[in-house]
Amino acid sequence: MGNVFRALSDPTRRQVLQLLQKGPISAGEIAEHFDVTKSTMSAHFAVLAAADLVQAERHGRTIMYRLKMSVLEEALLGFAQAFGLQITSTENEGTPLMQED
Amino acid sequence: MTVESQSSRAAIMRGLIIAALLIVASVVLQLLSPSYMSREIELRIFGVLTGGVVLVYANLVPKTITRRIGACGDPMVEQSIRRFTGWSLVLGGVAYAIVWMIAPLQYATAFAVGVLGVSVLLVVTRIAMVAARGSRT
Repeated sequence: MGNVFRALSDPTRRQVLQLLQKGPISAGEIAEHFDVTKSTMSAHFAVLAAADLVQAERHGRTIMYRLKMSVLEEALLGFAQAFGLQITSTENEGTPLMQED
Repeated sequence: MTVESQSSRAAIMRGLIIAALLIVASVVLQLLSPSYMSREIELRIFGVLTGGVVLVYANLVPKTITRRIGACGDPMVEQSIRRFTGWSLVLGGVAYAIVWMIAPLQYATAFAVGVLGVSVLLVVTRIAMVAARGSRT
């Protein structure tokens, strides 16, 4: 559950999850919505995958991401969005998060 | 062992544990009633437990991604059905438990089955609508 809270604590990752609520999207399409580097974006995806909130599927050269959230996790996402849950410090925002654990 | 077979084993284990807990709970409640617990409390506790089981299973519905279902339809539609099913049944399970907690005992069964029935009906209607739309195209 700690992984889930960590994943939901970041506004970018929450926005990614909200995009995925509409349906599976490719990594490139998701990245277009954010003004961050490719490595930062893939680090965000890694955190979301580690928390088991998304599932990546390779279709040829494209990686498709699908939402994999339980009802409780979606409720937590809504709660975090509504009350602006943000544990991650601003210093960490621009750096890859993969090495945090 | 593949990831899929591991998750199947985990699902079977979870099902067995929940079934065992329900059996143990019903035996304990039966033993406690009527000497230590009134029949009403026994029925209400069992109703709340049943609602809880529905909630636990429904909670995991949107998280379950199977290749078979994902391959046979539009993934966007499939995801929306899973999310709708999960939310509908979770709310149905919560309502079922609440009804057993607060409704007068003589109406509790009817109300509880009614609210859960409505949530199941909503899911069936949603799936039927999607299937009908799919067969037209």
